[in-house]
Amino acid sequence: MEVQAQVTDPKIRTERVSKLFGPDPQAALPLLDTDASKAEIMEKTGNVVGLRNVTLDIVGGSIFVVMGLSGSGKSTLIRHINRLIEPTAGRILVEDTDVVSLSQTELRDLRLHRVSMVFQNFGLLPNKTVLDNVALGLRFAGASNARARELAMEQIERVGLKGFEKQYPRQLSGGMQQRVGLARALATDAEILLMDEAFSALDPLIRHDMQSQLLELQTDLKKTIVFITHDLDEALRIGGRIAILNDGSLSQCGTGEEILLHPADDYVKRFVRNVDRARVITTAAAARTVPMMTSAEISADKIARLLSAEDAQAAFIVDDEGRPTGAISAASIAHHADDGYWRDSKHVLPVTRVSSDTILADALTDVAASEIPVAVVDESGRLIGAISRRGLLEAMAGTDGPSYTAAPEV
Amino acid sequence: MVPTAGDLSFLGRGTFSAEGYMELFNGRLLAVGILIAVAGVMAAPTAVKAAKCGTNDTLTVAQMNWFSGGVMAFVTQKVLEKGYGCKVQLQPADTVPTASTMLTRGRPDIAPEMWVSLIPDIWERIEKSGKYFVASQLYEDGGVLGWWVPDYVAKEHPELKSISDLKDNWKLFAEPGQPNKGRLYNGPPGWGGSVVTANLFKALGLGETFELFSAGSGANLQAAIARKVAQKKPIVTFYWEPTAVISRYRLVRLQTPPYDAQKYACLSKPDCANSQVTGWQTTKIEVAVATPLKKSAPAVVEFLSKMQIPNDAMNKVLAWGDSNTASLQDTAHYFFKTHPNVWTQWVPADAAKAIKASLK
Amino acid sequence: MADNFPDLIDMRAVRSGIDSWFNGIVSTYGQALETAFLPVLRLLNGIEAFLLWVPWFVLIPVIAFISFAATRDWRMPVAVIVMLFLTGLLGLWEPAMATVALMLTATLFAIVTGIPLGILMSFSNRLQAVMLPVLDVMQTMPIFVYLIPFVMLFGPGKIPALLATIVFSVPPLIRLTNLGIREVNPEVIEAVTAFGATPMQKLFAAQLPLATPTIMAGINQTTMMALSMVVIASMIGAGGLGYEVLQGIQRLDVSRGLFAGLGIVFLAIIFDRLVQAYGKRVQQHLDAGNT
Repeated sequence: MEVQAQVTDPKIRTERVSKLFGPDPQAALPLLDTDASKAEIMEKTGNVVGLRNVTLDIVGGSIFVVMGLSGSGKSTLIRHINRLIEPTAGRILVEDTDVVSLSQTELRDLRLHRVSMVFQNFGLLPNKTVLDNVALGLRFAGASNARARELAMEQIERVGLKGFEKQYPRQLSGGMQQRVGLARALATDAEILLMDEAFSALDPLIRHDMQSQLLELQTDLKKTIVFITHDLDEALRIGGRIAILNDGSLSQCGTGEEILLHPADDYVKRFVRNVDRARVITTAAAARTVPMMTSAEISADKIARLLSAEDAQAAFIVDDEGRPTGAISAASIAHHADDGYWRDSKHVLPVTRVSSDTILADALTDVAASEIPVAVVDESGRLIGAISRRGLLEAMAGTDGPSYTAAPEV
Repeated sequence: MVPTAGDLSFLGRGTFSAEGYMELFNGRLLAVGILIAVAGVMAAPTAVKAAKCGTNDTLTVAQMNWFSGGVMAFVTQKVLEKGYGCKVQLQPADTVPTASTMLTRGRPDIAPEMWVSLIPDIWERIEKSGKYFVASQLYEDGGVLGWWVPDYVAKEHPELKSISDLKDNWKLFAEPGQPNKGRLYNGPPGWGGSVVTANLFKALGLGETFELFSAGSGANLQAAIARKVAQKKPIVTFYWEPTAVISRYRLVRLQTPPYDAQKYACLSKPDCANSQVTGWQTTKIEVAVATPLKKSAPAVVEFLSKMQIPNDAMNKVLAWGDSNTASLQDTAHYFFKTHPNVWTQWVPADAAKAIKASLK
Repeated sequence: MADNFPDLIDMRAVRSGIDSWFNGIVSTYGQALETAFLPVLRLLNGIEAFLLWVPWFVLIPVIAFISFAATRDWRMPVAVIVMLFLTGLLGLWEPAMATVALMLTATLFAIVTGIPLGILMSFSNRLQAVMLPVLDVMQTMPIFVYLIPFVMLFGPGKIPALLATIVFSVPPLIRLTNLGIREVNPEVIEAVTAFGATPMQKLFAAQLPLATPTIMAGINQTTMMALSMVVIASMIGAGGLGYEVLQGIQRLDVSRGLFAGLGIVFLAIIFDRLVQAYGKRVQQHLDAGNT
């Protein structure tokens, strides 16, 4: 039942990291390897399970999202990476550095130069200006005031806060404050950026802007970002890979689409239920196979047979390469059971094509406007399936993923 | 005898307030009722004592805030309670406040150790008002006030004999914090002797070489003396006897010119314009008693008029109490135990017997 | 004498043992202690002499200006001028300055000792567990219990008065410094830690600045408690307005006591408002962004 997610040569690796809070964490540790639930362990030992044998690999230069409800241990996990929290058991490696075994001086060095952090409620010093807040890490590292401010100014410009550097945090909006937090984290030039619910305290619109800004920055910076969120939409938008924590244990780890389409357990299912699937699921995943034939094969009889057998709304006509050129709808075949009629290309319906990596949200207008299912094509233009209006709705509603045997439309 | 509401407070408050009968009107009626009932039920055993005390009112006794004053308050209380069956309440006090409540409120009923010489003006007004009379001189030789130095200072500095020698010997009494002046310790502002000391200080022209240090409180002055004696350092201070301080720290009194009534009268006034050097008046320490007691408690007044202690006996009692860090009660107890020849003179035989019985 | 509780030990012997021990300390170290605290006395006397050296018609406008600078409200300097002028009019200028000097010196020493103690306490739960009952004792022990021993150790006058005032007035500052630091937004502390701050950097960059409003409240309480001690301090020879009150009550000179009491009230109001206003100014950047 233990989910592990390992790759070769990760930037950050956690090895069976466990954290117990309470009177006697060591005594409760063996229970973590049993079936005992978090509640049972609490009742038996008085210890709260924070993390339970979490093994994760995080690839360098990418955004890795850790997700879970509150109390799932995600914030606890991220704090193990810069050892704001000491693990009860397990190892945490940042590249080759064993974080747990670092001395205080070495740990400070890690925090000063290699790992920086952005906080949910910004964690800014209210008594310092934006400039001095951003310069904070540099000052701690011993940079001169002038040098620290110079570097801080660069980051302030990068996050678009130029002109606000003399302001105090309370004079700024939440979104701007978090940009200060981001600039502060970037200023130390650490390769790893920990973002703990960094955008959760912001309004939805601002949050969206911040996500965009982060993604934009990341294309330049190529940092290793560990991003904590409780919002799956945010996770799906930002994350390459997503880990889902439940009661301190890792439930699932994978890409957004993998998680949406194949949720590992009920916990993940509940999570994905309300997600905006249209923004994650691609047409490829939602497409159904459709009857297809080359123009040479066309006969009214065959079309009727194909359509009834597959309960499809339309049959597609493809060229020799498998590229769709037209379609014949099930409705019209009933009126004209004449082979010659259908061989005449003017009676064949035009096909709307969408590429297979399009997300459903972007295919929406095409599908809605088309009487017949929209053709989904791969990068070389070959037909791989089609999305009907109904199929689109089903995929977005998430009724157990696309079904090829759905009831025919009436 | 018609008890007044105020005097019934010892019954009303203590007994009934807890049960919520504190409303004054109800309290008064109830108190009278209870008083009659109690008097009836307990007639036989209490009749003798009640007759002796003569009053059912609580007698207030001034408990002066110095050692002998406190001890004498307890001595008085014991005699009145055990010997006469009176109800007694001690009222912590100081000379001046006691004198002014005597004048304005007619309280306390008894001030066993009243240093009347220290407050000649007020005392004159009190006597004129007829509210109080002097029942007795508490100490045979009266109180001796003055400026005192420790015996080791007197021994090492024979040139320092009189208050007029101070001016030239100021260096002896300089303090580290104020090295260019000597320091004369005075009592707190509430003491009559402090006023005389301040005026005498002026009259002697000591201001040139001395600072007059006002102790602020008796405890502070005593602590200052204790400190100097513990360190064997010189000090010159206002004080008086009989007190434990004099015998405990072996203070020697500086000589003064003879007492001149006129000059002294001015010295004892805070706003004395023309202060002149003179000797201290041998202080009358009197047992002051509220005049109404003559009628209401003649037996008590009889006792108070006989109440007198020889100075040396009192000094011994105080020194014992002081060196044994005994409480005021214990010191009073010690007095009863060790000086029966003194106090049995004050009371009739049956009262003496009752007091002795209470000593165990 | 009805003794309900049996005399299990001879308390008299215990007491005289303690007393003679204390007397020994007085005779051995008394002089050295008094000498050691002379610089403090000089500082106190220096402040007092300075306040009296500045002419009243200079000092009153200066304090009024300070109060305006602190409050940015014209009513405050007007009130300051009226109250200080009245103090002078009542003939209390000199004792008032003596009291101010004592209070300022006591507050200064309370700050110098109280804030570091509060900081240490906030760092260690164990120290906190030890200190809290000690502070309780300091605040509930009747002042005279240590006042008179202080007199015996240091000699009567301003030094024991100053020390007693400090003992009496420093607990709220220690408590509030401890509390203020412990109550600093944990996320800010975490952020500072995450950026590699040493404990000292953490203290000076985050904890102290963010705890400043609470610490200022502590300083305010300390000044107020120091002022409330002036009457008691005067009982061991500290002089000032307290001595005027003492003279008033001991001689039943009601008006003298009342006027001197008013003088103390005026000083209390002025210092209370000044410290509060200053505290608010320090606080203004700390309000928001600190959820």
